[in-house]
Amino acid sequence: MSNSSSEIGSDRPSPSPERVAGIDPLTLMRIRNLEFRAKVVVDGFLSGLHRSPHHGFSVEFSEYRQYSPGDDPRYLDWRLFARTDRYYVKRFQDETNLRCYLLVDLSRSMAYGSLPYDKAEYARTAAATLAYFLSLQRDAVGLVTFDERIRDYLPARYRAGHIHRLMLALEQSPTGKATRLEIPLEQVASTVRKRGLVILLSDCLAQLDSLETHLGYLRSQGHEVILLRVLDPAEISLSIPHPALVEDLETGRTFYVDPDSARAEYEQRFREHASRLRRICLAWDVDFASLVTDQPLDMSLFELLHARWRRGRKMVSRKPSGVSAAGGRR
Amino acid sequence: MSFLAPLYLLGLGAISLPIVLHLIRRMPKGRYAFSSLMFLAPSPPRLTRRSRIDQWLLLLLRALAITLLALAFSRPFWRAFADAPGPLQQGRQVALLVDTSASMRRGDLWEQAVARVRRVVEGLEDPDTVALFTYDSQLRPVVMWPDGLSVSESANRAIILQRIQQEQPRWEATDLGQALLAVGDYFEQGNGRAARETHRQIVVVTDFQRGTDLTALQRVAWPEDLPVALETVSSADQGNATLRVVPAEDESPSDPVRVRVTNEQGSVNDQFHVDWVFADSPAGDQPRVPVYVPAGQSRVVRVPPSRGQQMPTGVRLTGDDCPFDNTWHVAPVPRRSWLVVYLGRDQADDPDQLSYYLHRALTDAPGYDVKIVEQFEKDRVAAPGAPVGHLVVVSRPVDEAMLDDLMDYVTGGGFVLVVPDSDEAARNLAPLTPGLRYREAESSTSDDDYALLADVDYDHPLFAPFQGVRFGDFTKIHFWNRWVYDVEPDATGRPLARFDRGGPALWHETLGDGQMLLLAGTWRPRDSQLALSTKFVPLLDGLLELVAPRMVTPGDLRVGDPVALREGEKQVVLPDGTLVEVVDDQWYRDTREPGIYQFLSANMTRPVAINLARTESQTSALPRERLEQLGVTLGSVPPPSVTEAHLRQLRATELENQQKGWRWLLLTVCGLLVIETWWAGRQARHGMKSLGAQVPQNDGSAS
Repeated sequence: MSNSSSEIGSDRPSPSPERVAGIDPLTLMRIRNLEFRAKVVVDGFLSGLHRSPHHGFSVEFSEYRQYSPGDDPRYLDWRLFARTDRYYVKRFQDETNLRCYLLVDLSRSMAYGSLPYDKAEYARTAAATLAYFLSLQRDAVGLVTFDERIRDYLPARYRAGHIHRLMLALEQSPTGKATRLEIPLEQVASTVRKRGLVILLSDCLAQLDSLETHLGYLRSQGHEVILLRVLDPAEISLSIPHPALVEDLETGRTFYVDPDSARAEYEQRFREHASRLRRICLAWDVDFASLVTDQPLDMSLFELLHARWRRGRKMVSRKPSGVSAAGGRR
Repeated sequence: MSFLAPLYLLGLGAISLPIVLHLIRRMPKGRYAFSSLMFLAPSPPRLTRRSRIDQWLLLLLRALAITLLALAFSRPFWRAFADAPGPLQQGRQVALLVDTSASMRRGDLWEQAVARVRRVVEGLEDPDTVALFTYDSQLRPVVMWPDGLSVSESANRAIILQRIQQEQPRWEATDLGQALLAVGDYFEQGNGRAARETHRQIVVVTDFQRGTDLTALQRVAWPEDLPVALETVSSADQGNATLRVVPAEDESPSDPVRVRVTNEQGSVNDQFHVDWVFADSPAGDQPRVPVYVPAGQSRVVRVPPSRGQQMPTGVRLTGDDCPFDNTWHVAPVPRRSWLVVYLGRDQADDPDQLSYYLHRALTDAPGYDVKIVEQFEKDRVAAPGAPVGHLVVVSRPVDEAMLDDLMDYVTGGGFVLVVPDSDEAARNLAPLTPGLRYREAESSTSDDDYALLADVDYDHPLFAPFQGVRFGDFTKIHFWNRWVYDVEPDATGRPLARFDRGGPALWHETLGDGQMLLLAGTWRPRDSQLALSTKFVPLLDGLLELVAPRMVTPGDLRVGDPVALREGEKQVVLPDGTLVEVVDDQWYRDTREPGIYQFLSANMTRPVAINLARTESQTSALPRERLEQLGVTLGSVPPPSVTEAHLRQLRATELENQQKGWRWLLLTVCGLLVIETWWAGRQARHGMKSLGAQVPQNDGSAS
């Protein structure tokens, strides 16, 4: 994460010293059960969250407004009426049920890994962790896995067994021959009418032209979008051990690459691609973070959530929403 | 130094293989899967230390090993000290047999054959000798092998090429078996000089048609060292058909002639016509009989007799592609005639007399005519087989001079029938039959008193037609008046029939060259029932046959068959009109073409039909395996140049086998490989030490 700092990572809070180490990803990936693995991670960063002074997502009071005919009498503040003998209705920040869609790239490029596990495994674990975490908060979680087309689509639900189905869908191995980032975005934009949170987990090793369009479309629909780019450390620094015929995992195309001579150009082009991706995210107010597979997952997620929380606070203040029930949560 | 298998020297190219492979491109060994190539570009291979040759000694050792291995496989030998000149080149002795049978007249077969001969002769090499034979039913040497003194081989070949142009196909049948045996004899005899040392070869240029006679080959075992090469020529015709007249037992000139039309296997045509052929004039309005004969079958068709006076000389088939066998020659049978001299005193219109019945019985009939005259000329003696027969019938008494004349006539070859009409005549004419002595006339007084014929000699040609039980009944013929003769003890004649009352009834006696026949009675109705019986006319016909026997022409004579000559035949008119003298007195043998041969004697002409051999019409090709089935070695002796090359190769193999240089080379290779292995191991160990934990890279330069 050090050399691929994200928007989020740039203003990360300094975690406590015992959290810096995090959970060793190699150890984590040895846990075969994805649900259990997610639970381990969530437990890890939840303890960190609780230690934080910022207390998380709840129904928060916004303002009072004088009652006018036509308002729902259910929202009248009877206590205030008792004190002031005037009718007021209470207004709250709408932080009710979050609809979160996890878009997980399972193309073959995600099957690359210079470590004992590959990027897909890492992304899967991250998605499972997020899903588990959101389900703990009783938020509805949906899943879209894709490569060059949609492979699995689970609508956002919060119900018993849903999280289990979601884990099963995540456990499929990468098969696709290409990565088309716009496909899941289109799917979400066309099917999800209510605003929600869209988290895209991908290595983003694809052309970015259409991505910009679709991100903008999602954003204009009011969705929150987080782009989590999963990268292998060997991809960042082109760590090919010796000159070899290099085969593209997705297209099968091969040619001879001498890493010593090709590294400089590779890194330059890689940086250009990453910076363009970052610019796109900035332009559309999309949270962007790089998840490098040799970094502890709980640390990365903690930083992500923390930064989001902070952005969320800003967002809430900037974007008042509609009135909800007094209880906040249904 | 020479090599037995120099092609293996190409293996020397293997030396450059490791170097070339190493220098051209050093492709990476492994493949590496990467997530995406979108940020990568193909890298050019770098010239590293691995691309340079740094193990020169190893490279040299290995190259030397490969070189020696290639040399060993190419089997080197030294011919300097053992390359003695081989035996002198021995040429082939070739006998060229050209088929001149009638079937070679089809299409352009003969032109093909001539071209084939030219090709064979021109394909011979210098040491070869060649002789030219033609064959059909017999072998004819045309140009023999040169003897080396008078004619050189090159001149001999020129003569052969010249003579083959002059040759033409003949009309005879094909007897290849006999021809091959005869050529084999030529080889064995003096003509095949040094036959044992040279390679002998028979080349047969033929159409090898189905009618080829190979039976002679069944008698002998063909020598294995005399191979026969078949140079077959084939015609582009669409099949062949032929015809022949089927002889009938009792043919009459008015009966249709039966003609068998045979269509050869594989023939395309099946619709033909048969008509008559005439010597001088075209057929005109003669019948033309259509006949349908499928391929491989034969049909018999009846052709109506020709109309008009002219006798046809054959039948002809039209409608097939090969006309050479389309005419079947038939010798025209000349119309026979008899001149009967009747010396009697009665009139021909008196039904009570002899002459009346003679005129009635001897009338013209289909196929012959009879003329009865009363003027006797003693010189008018017909030769046997003459177209005109002469018969003298005497019934009246004659004077002494006439008796002498008659006697001279008979002894000169004439035929006389004596039928005395009276006792006086019987007594007068008795000297004509020296074997008989006239005794008396016997006359019956009543109808029931008669004599019958007995002891009829049915073996005699006169009575031969009555030989059957149904026809041999002469008991209905009663003789009331007869002349009684006694047979002299020293008689040379014999009775052909006797009277049951004794004495000969019909006496036959040969006098000189002629014959005398005496009837001891008459056929007058008052004397006997002979003239009124059914036997009378057949008896007189038989008598005419006896006088001038039917000319039996030999049927089914083929080209090349000898024709038996008859007495007096000294000249022959050939079918093309040429008149030739006959030299032999027994046979005429030069029947070289089909047609009508006219054999001429002093007073007659005898036509004889000579036809094409039936086998020549069987024109479909024989499989050449047929010769192999008969034991004939088929094949060609390789030309001397090839033989010489073969011998040289054999000598080289022998030398190489003696020297066995390849063993030493292989031994050296093994030694080199041992040194190379030791050196490579040493270098590897050295490299490991110097590079420490790095992967040793000492192998790439040479391997």
